[in-house]
Amino acid sequence: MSARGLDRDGLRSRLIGLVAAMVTASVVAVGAIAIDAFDRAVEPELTNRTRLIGSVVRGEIQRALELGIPFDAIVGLDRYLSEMLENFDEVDGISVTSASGQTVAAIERPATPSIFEQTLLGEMTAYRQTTFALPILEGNELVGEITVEISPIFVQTRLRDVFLDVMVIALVAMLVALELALAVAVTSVGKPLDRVLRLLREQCEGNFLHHIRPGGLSGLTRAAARLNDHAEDLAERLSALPAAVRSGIEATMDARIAEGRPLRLRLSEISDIRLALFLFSVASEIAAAFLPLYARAAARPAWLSPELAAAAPLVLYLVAVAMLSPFGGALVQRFGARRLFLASVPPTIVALAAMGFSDSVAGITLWRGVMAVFYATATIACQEYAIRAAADQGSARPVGAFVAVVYGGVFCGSALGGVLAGRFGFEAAFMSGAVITVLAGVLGLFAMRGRAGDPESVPNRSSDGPASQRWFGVRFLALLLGIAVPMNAATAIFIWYLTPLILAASGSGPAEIARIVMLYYLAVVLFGSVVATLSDGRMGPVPLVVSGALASGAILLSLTVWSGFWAVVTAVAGLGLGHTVLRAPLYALAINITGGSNAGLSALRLVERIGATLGLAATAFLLGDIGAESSIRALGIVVLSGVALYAIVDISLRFRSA
Amino acid sequence: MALFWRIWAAMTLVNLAVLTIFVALATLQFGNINSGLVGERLVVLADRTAAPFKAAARIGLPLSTVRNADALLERARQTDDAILAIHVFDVAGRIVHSTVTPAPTAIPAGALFARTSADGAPWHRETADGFLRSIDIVSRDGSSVGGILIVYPGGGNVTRIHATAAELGLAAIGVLMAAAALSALLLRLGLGRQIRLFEAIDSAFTRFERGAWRSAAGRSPDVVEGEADELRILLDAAETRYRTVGQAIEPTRDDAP
Repeated sequence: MSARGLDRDGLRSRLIGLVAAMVTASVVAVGAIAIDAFDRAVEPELTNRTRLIGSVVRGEIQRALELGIPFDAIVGLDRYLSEMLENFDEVDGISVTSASGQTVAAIERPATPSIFEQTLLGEMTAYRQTTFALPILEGNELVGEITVEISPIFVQTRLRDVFLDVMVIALVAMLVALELALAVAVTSVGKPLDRVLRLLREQCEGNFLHHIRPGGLSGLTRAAARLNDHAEDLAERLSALPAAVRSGIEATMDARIAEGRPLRLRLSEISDIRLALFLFSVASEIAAAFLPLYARAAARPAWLSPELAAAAPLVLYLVAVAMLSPFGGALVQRFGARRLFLASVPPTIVALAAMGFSDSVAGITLWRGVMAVFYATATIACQEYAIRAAADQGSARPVGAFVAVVYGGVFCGSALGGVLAGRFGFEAAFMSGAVITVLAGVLGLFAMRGRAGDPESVPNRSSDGPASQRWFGVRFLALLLGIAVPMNAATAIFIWYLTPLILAASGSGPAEIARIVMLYYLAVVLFGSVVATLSDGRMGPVPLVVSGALASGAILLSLTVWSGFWAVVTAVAGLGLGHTVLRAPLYALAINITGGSNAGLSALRLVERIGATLGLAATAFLLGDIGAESSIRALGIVVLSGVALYAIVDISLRFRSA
Repeated sequence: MALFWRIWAAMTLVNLAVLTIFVALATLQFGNINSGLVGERLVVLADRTAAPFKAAARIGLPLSTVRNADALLERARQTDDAILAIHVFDVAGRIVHSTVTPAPTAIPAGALFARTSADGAPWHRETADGFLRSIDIVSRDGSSVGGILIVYPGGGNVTRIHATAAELGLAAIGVLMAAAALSALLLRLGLGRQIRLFEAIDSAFTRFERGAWRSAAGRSPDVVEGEADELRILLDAAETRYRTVGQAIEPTRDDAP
C-alpha cells in the first residue's frame, strides 16, 4: 500500500464524471420545472395580450363593417395584421375567417425552427394552449372569427440566455467542485499519508530527526502523533544526558536523533498550488472575454483609434509579462515561490478594483499592466513550485498540471466574467475578481508550505554549466521561433483580440463572447492530463508539438474558406485543442533541451511573449486596413511556416547526430 | 467513510451553489419577461389610444379640444381592468384628459424626467406606484405636443415574481435532495476502490495499535504478510527500531551521574 496507490488521475476522471452528471441533471430538472412554472405564470398576461390583439383587429374590422364595407372586401387587412405581428413576439400567426370558414386575411411569421422546435425538448415543454379565437359581430350577427396562434415555445426562447448562462456557471462550478473534491482527497488522505509513510521509512532506517504535522483521517492523525512522539521522546531523553555520554552514544548507535526539538518535515506536491493558482487565474482573467470591448468603449484621446484602444490593455499586458519573465526564475530563487505568490496577491486585488473604476483607456491599460506584472510573478512562482515539487516525475507532468490548472482557471474566469458583466455590469465582474483573489491568497498561505516554496540558497537548477549552454543551440531557437512564438501570437491575436471584436460586430453580447472564448480553454481542461501522460510516455513530446502546431495553423487558415458565427466557434475550439496538444509537450521539450535551466525557461517565456506582443501590435495597426480575415490568414501562414522551420532544423540535427 | 462524506459534502455544496444561482437568474429573467410582456402590451394600447389625439395634433388642434376624449380613454382602460389610469398630458406635463376623477393636475415628476430622457421614443418605468408607460404625440412639424401615460399596478407583478421564486426554490430543494441521495450512491459505486483503500489504511493502524497493547500484555505478535499490510509492516519496523534505540539510551541514563 502506498500513497501512489491512491491513483489520483483515476480519482480525478471519476470525479469529473460524477460532478458533471449530478450538476447537469439537477440544472435540467430545475430548468424543466422553471419552464412549466413560467408558462403558468405568464398565462394571464398572454391572455391579456391576445385579447388586446383580438379587440384591436376586431375594432378595425367592425368599424369597416359599420361603414358598409362588405366583410370580404376590406382592403389592407394583411398589412394591418403584419403590424400587429411585429408588436407581439409570441404571436406566430393571425388569421381572419368569415362565418362560412373562408379565410379573409392571414399572416404568419416566417421563422426558422429553433433548437427547441427541432428537438423533443420543444414538444415536451410546449405551452399548453396555442390558439385563441375571438368572434366578430356585425350587430347581432356572427360574421367571422379572428384566430391568434401563439408560439408554443415562447417562454423557452426567452429563457435561452438563462439556460446558456446557467450551463456556463454549471461548467465553472464543475471545475471548482473538481478542484475542491481533489483538495479534500489530498488534504484528508494523500498528503497526510505521504507524510506518515516518509516518516515511517525514515524511522525504519533509524532516522529520528523529523516530526510531521498531524492531519488527515483519524488513523493517519494517530499514526502521525505516535511517530512524532518517537522522535520527540528520543530527542528529549538524549538531550537530558551529559554531553560526553551523549557523544559516546551517538558515535556507537546506528541511529540519528534530533538535538533539541525534531525538525518539521515539509513535503511538497503539485497539488499544493492547484486551488490557489486556479482561483488566482479565475480572478486575473475575469475580464478576458470583454476587455477589448471595455477598453474600446472607454474615453480615449482623439488620436487613438478604437482598434488600438481595444488592443492597448492586451499589448501592455504582454509587454509587462515579457519584461518580467527573464527575472521570474531569479525572483523565485531569491524570495521563494510561496513568498512571491503571496506578495503578488495584494497588488492584483488593487489592480482589479482599479480597472473596474477606470473610465479611460489609459487607466484601464495602466492597471492591466500592473496586474500583468503580478500575474507573471504569481504564475511563475507556482510553476517553479510545481517543477520543484515533482522533480522526480518527468518534465511534462508538472508543466501539464500547471497548464491545466491555469487554463481551467482562465476558462472559468472568462466564462464567469462574461456572465457577471452581461447581468450586473463590468464593475461587478472586476469586484468579483478582486474577492476571488483574496480567497486565492488565503489558500496559498496555507497550502504552499512545502519546501518547494522556500528560497533556494544554492540553485538546484543552475544557470551555468554544460546543460544551460544548450539553450543557445539551433534546435532550441527553432523551437522558440518556430513553435512557441506563433502559438502565443495566435492566442493573443485570435483568441484575446480578434474573436471578441468579430463576435461583437456580429451582434454577440459579453456573455455570448465569453461562452465562445471559453471553448478555447475547455480542451486543456479536458485533455491536458492525457497529453502530459503521452508526452512523458513512449510517444515523446516532438510528435505532439508538431501535430498540435500543424492543426493550429490549419484551423486558422480554415477561416479563409468559411466565415460567420459558427466558423469562429469551431476555430476557437479547434485552436484550443491544437494548443492543448502542443503546449505541455513544448515546455517539456524546452526543459529537455536546456536541461531545465532557469535561463532556458526564462528565455522561452520572454521570447514567446515578445512575439505575441509584436504580433498583436501589428494586427491592431493593420486591422483597419487589411481586415480580420487577412490578419487571420497571415497568422495561419506564420504558424505553418514555423512548424516547417522547426521540422527542418530537428530533422537535419538528427541526421547530423546519426 | 470520512473521505466519502467530505467529497459528498463538497459536491452537494457545489450543486447547492449552482441551483441557487440558477433560481436567482431564472427569477430575474422571469421578472424581465413579465414586465416586458406587460410593457409591450401597454405601449400598443397607448399607441391605439393616441390615434385620435394624433389626428387632432396633426391639424394643429390642442389635445384638450378632442371630442369624446374621456370615452376614448375609458374604452382603452376597459381592455384591462387592472389599468389604474390613462392620462393625456400636454407638452408641459399638465393632464388634460384622464380616466381618473378628479384628474390630477400633472403627471409625476419622475415621469416628466423619463419623458425628457427618452427624447420622443416610447418609454416605460417601474416606480413605487407601479408601471408607467408612455408615448409621445407629435404635431405636423414633428414637435411634441404631449403624450399618453398609462399607469399600471406593480403589485401583481411583484407577487407573481415572488410566487415563481418560491416555486423554483422549493423545486430546487427537492432536486438538490434527490441529487444528494443519488450522488451518495454514485460516489459509493464510482469511488469504491479508493474508499476501500482509505479504509484499509485506517484498519492497518488500528490493528497495529491493538497488536502493540496486546503484546505489552504478553500476547505473541500477529503474523503480518502480503503487500496490503505494507503500512503495518512499516509501523512494526519503526516501533521496533524506536524501542531498540530507546533501550540503548536507557541504561546509559542509569549510568549517568
